[in-house]
Amino acid sequence: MNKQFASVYFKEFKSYFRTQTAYFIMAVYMIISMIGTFYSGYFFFLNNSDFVSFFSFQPQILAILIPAVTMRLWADERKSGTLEYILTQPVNYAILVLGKYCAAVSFCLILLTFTFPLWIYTNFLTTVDNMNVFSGYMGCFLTAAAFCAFGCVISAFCSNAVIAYLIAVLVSWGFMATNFNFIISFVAEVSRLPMSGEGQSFNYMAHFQNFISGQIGIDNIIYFAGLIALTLWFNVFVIEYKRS
Amino acid sequence: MIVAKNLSKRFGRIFAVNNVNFCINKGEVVCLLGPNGAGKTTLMRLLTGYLEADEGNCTVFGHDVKTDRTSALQKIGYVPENCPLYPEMTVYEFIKFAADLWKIPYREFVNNFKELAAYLHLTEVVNQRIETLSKGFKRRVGIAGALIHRPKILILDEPTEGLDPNQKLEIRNLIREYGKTGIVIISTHIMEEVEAISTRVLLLNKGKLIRDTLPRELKKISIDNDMASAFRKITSEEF
Repeated sequence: MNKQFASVYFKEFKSYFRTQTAYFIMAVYMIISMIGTFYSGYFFFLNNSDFVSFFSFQPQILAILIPAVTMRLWADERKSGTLEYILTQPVNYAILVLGKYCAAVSFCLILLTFTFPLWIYTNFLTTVDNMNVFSGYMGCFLTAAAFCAFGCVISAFCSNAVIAYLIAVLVSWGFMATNFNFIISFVAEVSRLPMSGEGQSFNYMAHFQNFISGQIGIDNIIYFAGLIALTLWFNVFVIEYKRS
Repeated sequence: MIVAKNLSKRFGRIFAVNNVNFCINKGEVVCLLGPNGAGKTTLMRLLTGYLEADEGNCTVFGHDVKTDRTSALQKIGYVPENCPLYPEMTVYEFIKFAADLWKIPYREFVNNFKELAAYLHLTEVVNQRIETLSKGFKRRVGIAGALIHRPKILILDEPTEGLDPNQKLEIRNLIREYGKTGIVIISTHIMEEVEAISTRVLLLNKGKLIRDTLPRELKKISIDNDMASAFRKITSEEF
């Protein structure tokens, strides 16, 4: 592993656990997820062979909590002045961005693994399609990874972590809820271009639904991977731009 | 060797650094002197690549800071103003973090760390969190982080600001020592410091380099052969 990447990654990852932030986010995530699963998701009333009670609320929960994981990544560096320190080291900016991003994603992976006991418990209660559940978890993980990328970019723009959090929640929620079909139809109508159905491929929910219904397509993977890569590239650009 | 050619940086309409030219060679301790807002910090940020020059360029041992940033920064150890550090880290963790960013092999790091910790009197606080340290210790930790890879150039922005007289003396000794074999650039507005450690003075005012001289030559400008009077005279003339 690249030494510089590893040092940035471990510094960021450890910093979650040095303060109470990590434990607080974990506790809040578990509480909200369980409320969502058992009460709003009617866990005991539905056939949970596909774990749908748990997965159906995950995008909304992640859109609120992931920005708390990413809000301080760059904003705190800017506020405390350490941004000047780190940007004057002989490190490629892409390594800095990747190190910080991967630390946030690793933390999200830990968050998700904390819900595995529920998966095991459900296996005792009913017959579970474990491949379907795995696919759902993959969808949740990729959602968290995408929201982490959004959060990183927004944090790079801000010097205040709270503002970074609020904007990231808005952006993540907005991205999740936006119906690109409607936008594309509107553009098609105004521009009179022959476009129909292209919006579907941009809709987050359409891709996420594929994951929770156990249909992992290459297009779904490409969608998330492309989205994350593009956002991280933009993050590097923002760091470069804000520096100069 | 650091060479700055026609270096300029604007913030809006104001020139923070305006057409600055100089060349600094090995064995020099250069003081960037000037009143507040003269452009000292901006100039340091341009030299370390934190800011990008609007015009002109800066090379560090032949590597352009703008186009060959990482190679140029390999030669520099920089401690920014107020010495920003990660308060939640221990002293060891911070210096190890700095060493890893410089890709220093572990054995070399251990040797350098032991030497630096002893030299900067950090041995007793290596496992202490940075947030619990005094200002003087924090400053020394920042310098240790900048020196861990034994850079050829050491750039310190107001290194003795807020330190007690003993700590100031220690930092000055370190700068003097380092300046014998490398290049040290410090910014300050403490005249006593300029006299004590510098071998050359770059006097800035309103972003312009108005004097590039020796400390003793600068003193001669005032009637009473005093650095502070000379500084006041030159900068007030410029106003």
